[in-house]
Amino acid sequence: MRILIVDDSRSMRMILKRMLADMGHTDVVEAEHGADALDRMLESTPELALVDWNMPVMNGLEFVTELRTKREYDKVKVMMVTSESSPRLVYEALKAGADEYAMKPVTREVIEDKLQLLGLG
Amino acid sequence: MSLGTPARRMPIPEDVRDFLGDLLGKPVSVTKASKVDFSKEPDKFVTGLYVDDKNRLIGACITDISLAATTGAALAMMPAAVAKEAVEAGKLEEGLRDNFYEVVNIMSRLLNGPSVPHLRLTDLVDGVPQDVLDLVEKAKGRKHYDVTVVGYAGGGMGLVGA
Repeated sequence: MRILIVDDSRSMRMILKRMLADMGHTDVVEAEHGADALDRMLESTPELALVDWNMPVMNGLEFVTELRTKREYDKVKVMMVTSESSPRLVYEALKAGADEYAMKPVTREVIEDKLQLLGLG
Repeated sequence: MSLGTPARRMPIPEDVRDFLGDLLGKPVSVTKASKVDFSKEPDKFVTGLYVDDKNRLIGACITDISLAATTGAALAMMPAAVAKEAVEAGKLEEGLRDNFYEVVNIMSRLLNGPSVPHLRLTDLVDGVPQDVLDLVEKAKGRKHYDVTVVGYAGGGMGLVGA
């Protein structure tokens, strides 16, 4: 399974990548923000995108909103992985088209549970 | 009669311990510390600035360089020696700083809640700016902690939330 990590923090991308590798997922692509992620998706379409909220250029909500306007990406599952925890923001993300929402700090167990819920476990 | 805005709930040491433990993937111990006068030696601290949705300063995470270096290194599984070098130099090099920025960014979750103004990290600065010192004096919520991370040095942290 190809997984796209979208996060402006290099350290957070590294942590998520390491966590995914421990779970056996090594086909991982990284992007620094939403616009970068859309560019990466032109090269290869992931099955899952792990998306931060607060990023420069194009934030996570803008990315999800844009992604869901493109029919070719209908099957891409999106999991927000963010420190934003307010119910209003969770609602906004899900309304925009995110499939799951995980709050930082995430643990391997949380990611595994969410992947199960998405049918990707 | 207005009941006013509810006070922001400041995390207890156990909250901080569990939060940092999950974030860093290492055992962390946190105890309540006595109040620190940040104005005495501001150069010894690094400050994360939290703003509300109108970009007004409403919170801060103030740590000494030792804790900033500790958490920055631990987050990326860097050796403790890297953190020690930063403490000796009195400043965070770019990699440690980026890592610590993410720690402080995620820490904002500890200060947010359903009935208080939402805050988010906007910047990480060296020292303790005057507007933060003013906030420390008038903020409803203020707590100090001593933090140690297994295998690293640890240090002190203050959280402030209006």
